[in-house]
Amino acid sequence: MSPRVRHSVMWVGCLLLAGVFLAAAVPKISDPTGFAKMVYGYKVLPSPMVNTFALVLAWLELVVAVALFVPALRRPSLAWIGALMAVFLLAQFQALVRGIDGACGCFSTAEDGGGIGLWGILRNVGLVGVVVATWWAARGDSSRLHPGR
Amino acid sequence: MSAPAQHLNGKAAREVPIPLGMAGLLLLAVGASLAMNAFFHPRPVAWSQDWAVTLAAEVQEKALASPFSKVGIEDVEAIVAGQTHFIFDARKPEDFFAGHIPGANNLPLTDFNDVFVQYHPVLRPEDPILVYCSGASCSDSISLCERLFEAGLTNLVYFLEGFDGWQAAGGEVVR
Repeated sequence: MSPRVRHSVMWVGCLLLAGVFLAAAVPKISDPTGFAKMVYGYKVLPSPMVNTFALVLAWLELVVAVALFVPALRRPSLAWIGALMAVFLLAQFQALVRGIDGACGCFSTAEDGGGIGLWGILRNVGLVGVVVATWWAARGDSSRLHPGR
Repeated sequence: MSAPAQHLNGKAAREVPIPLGMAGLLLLAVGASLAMNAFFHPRPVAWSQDWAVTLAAEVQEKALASPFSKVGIEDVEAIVAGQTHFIFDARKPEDFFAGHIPGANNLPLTDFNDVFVQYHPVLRPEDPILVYCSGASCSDSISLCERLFEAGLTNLVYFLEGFDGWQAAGGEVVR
């Protein structure tokens, strides 16, 4: 594959992932209590850890989304996004298996902002594919700021 | 792990080693969340709280605002023994079939429209109905009362302590 195509794949991947993670982070940062309640609903973490985890997670989503556009931090950011996607997938899968019928807390902190379900898992699997493609494209990329140069 | 020198608009740029970069990003997120929550957020959250207690308090608040009557364990024991009420269990079918209060019928709140049609023809508006869900941190029993009231049933009571409370009191469980 030509470097130009590879470069384009990397930028499309970065833009898509940054958009998704920014859209996910903003409502959680705005309403940390609502998001913490949703994290508790997954019944994975002990109650005293939930708020700290929810606060840091929301900001980590924002930080890694922005860091995708810092060439020197692009692959560490992609590594975090991959790790977070794995955590989200595991959390949703265990909730589905255990019959936990709660709110997803993915892009909204509203109770009716979307539930835990197969659609969320499929979406996250798709995003893992985007992470892998972007990582692959970023490996050999020269990290120039503008595509096509 | 470090990549070779890279070009950034003509200047050399070096990729931060991945573990170091990840640690840095995490530190930045921790710092930002600490600072924003402590100093800038209009509705900061406590760093730690007992969510079971918080949710139970929310349910209690909802119960106080509810127009329906709450019954205790002794009332439920009398209702079950005397078969005086139609009993609805608001939990999901898998929880219901794993164990429920004797005489209860499963009416999951999540599938209300689909399941209620089979009960609606046999219920009269004044029939006494008892509703319960899993326990004190669950408000589905109150929500189910609201749905039943909207469907025209008026003699509704709920057992807030729910199935957990029934089991804790040593009540008989049907599987």
